[in-house]
Amino acid sequence: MNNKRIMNLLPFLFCAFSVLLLVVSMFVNRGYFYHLTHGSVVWYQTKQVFALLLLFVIGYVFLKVIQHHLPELWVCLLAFPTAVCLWCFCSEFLLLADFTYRFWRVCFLMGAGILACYLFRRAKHIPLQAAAFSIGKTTADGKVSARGRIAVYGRIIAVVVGVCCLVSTGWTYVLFNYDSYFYFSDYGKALTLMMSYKDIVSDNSFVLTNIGQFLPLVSSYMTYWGLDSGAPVLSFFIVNLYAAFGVAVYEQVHARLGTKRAACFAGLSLLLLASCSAFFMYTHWVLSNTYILFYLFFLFYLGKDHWNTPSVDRALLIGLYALAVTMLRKDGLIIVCFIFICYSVRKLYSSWILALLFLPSAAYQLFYIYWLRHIIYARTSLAFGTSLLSDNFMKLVLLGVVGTFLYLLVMHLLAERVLKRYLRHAMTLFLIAALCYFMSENLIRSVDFVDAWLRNFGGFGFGFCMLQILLLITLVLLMPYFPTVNAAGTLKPPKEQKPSRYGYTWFFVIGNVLVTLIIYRQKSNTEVGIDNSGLRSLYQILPVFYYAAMTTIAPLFEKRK
Amino acid sequence: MFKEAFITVLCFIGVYVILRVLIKKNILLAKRLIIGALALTLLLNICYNVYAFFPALAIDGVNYLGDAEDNLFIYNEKSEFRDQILFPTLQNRTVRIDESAACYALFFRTFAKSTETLSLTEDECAMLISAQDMLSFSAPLKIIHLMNYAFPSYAEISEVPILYLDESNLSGEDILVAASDDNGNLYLFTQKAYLEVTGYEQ
Repeated sequence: MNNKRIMNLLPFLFCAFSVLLLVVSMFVNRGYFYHLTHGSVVWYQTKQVFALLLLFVIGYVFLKVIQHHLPELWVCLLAFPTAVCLWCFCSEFLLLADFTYRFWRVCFLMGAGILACYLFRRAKHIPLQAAAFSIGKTTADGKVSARGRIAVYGRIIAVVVGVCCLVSTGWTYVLFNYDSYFYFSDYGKALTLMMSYKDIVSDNSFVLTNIGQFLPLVSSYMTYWGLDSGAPVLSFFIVNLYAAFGVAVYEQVHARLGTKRAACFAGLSLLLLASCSAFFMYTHWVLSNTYILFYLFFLFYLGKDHWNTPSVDRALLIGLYALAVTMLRKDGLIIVCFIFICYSVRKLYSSWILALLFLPSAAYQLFYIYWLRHIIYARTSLAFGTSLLSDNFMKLVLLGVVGTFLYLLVMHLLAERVLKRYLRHAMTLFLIAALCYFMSENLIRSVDFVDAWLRNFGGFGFGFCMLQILLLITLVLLMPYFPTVNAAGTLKPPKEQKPSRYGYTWFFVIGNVLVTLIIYRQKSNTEVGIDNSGLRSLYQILPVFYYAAMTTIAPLFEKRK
Repeated sequence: MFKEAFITVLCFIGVYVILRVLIKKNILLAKRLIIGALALTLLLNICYNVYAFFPALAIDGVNYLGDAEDNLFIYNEKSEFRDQILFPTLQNRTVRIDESAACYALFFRTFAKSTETLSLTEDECAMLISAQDMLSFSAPLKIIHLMNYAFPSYAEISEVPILYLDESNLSGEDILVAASDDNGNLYLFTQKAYLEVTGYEQ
């Protein structure tokens, strides 16, 4: 049996192993499950598999319908996060429009949306693209053969079923704290109980005024399936992120390192990321920050330089994921504002298209605040100052929205003309200056703020990850002094190399860190402990940081003749 | 803390300078050193993760947050939120709700397999409540926060009620009887225990 055949069989072997593991887990879980629930563990865990599978299928079908230049592999990698977005957006639409929130209504809405996209595509005479991971198995006219298509679909189904089974064993690592229990899990359950936001409104509507609605809606999806825990969704997301991260690193270093070396390097990068204690802890924690971490990585990668042609599918996904980040946390919109400015500096799309993609996020946040204040008259006595009802927060949102639209539509022309290639540097300096300005407002509180941050970095749960992060930063700073390998395979002295550029990747990382610090300095976040939401927000950027650092130091692993 | 941070920054600068000099003098050694350092941090992180996160993450041994197993339910017997046991317990069971626990009816209607109403006399209800020693499980009913959404009046309750559950006899029982006292404490008996207490068994 040759290597190719073994590779083709791998997905099926993985699927078989996962199914076996699921069956074993059913036997193991049976004891405590039956005692507690008086139900069938087989049916319960099978429902988990089906719930995840349905989400993947919805996302996959949607992405196939909107597919333009997105490769098949990325269609598969983005299917699940996209489906979760679609579920939450449709649910939120029903709830805000005061329709009764029911499972089949949301499914109908999603189906109608996908059908509308398909009909639009058909009206424009754009054929659906066949599933193919590589060139080959094509017929004489260049199309993928029916046999090749079946083989590809077979492999996709095998891998997805395998992952669904693996994360449905109940043996994945998941963290819950107070917020996870009450504001995401139980509140999600309450939504299936009340089926309307209006019935939740009282004198203390904390969950409406202070909590992002995205994660409770994910929880309610599982509740509609009769499942208690949202852990399988989170675990699927984690596997999805690992796969996307590995593929992203591989794609970036492939040309430089060659196939085998690039695969090993991607594996090493993945291992470094997965072993980072802070990343490990925060990705397994049922919190909004965790999901922002996932979507932030996808948003970053969809804006990467290596996508040569602007495409409709990536634009739509950027719009969807930006809206997801906005819905996840009440300060998510500020991060989204920065991301769009980043895209503008990178010249990802024309300014009008970027403004159009930013519009749903801005419109949602503004409408939501208007709806809270003037339609349902929500009130909160708890943490009013940081709620969506406070005037300060309203000002911050308005400033972000107006500033971003102004930059995207008008000011970018001036900024690009005046600052040219130093635009990113100038923007970073501006963010540093803004942080210093806010720090200087109240020096005593700023000292407390910095002290809390420093204590958090050395606290329980972070292990040696700061050491690793500092080492990576040192290496990144040293890279311009390393000689790299030229086409002949010999060392090229550093002087011959082009000067290193402060590109999109590092601007994205550093800008995000600074924006997060500004937000949390403004909120005077001085808590100590891993539960600190400012700290969690800071670590949202970890996958992007690891990607940036590992792809920067990739030349170190080049083969030398 | 500032002192530690200052030392860290100094170390950072020191490592940077050493590596920079080493790159000039002996590039191969610098590369080996860097790869070795990366491998070391990887190893240290893995060891730390195994030590700190498995089989469970506990901070100062008190704030139990997570577990590497049994996540079919959010309920975890070691967590602070043990009342989450209600969700798996109700899933496939019928709950007979006494009028005293009527305020929990909507909750039960949503999360239990089915519900029936039950009218206990005052004596019977008092008998059931006084038999709370029979119920092996008790935990603060923090799910009350969830019910706040459903019953805004609960927001007025300052003390969290207690959930009492006949947990040890749940196996094989598909009917539960719910009663409540004046403080909103919830008593969930298995049908068998209910019959035993009220004497209907005979």
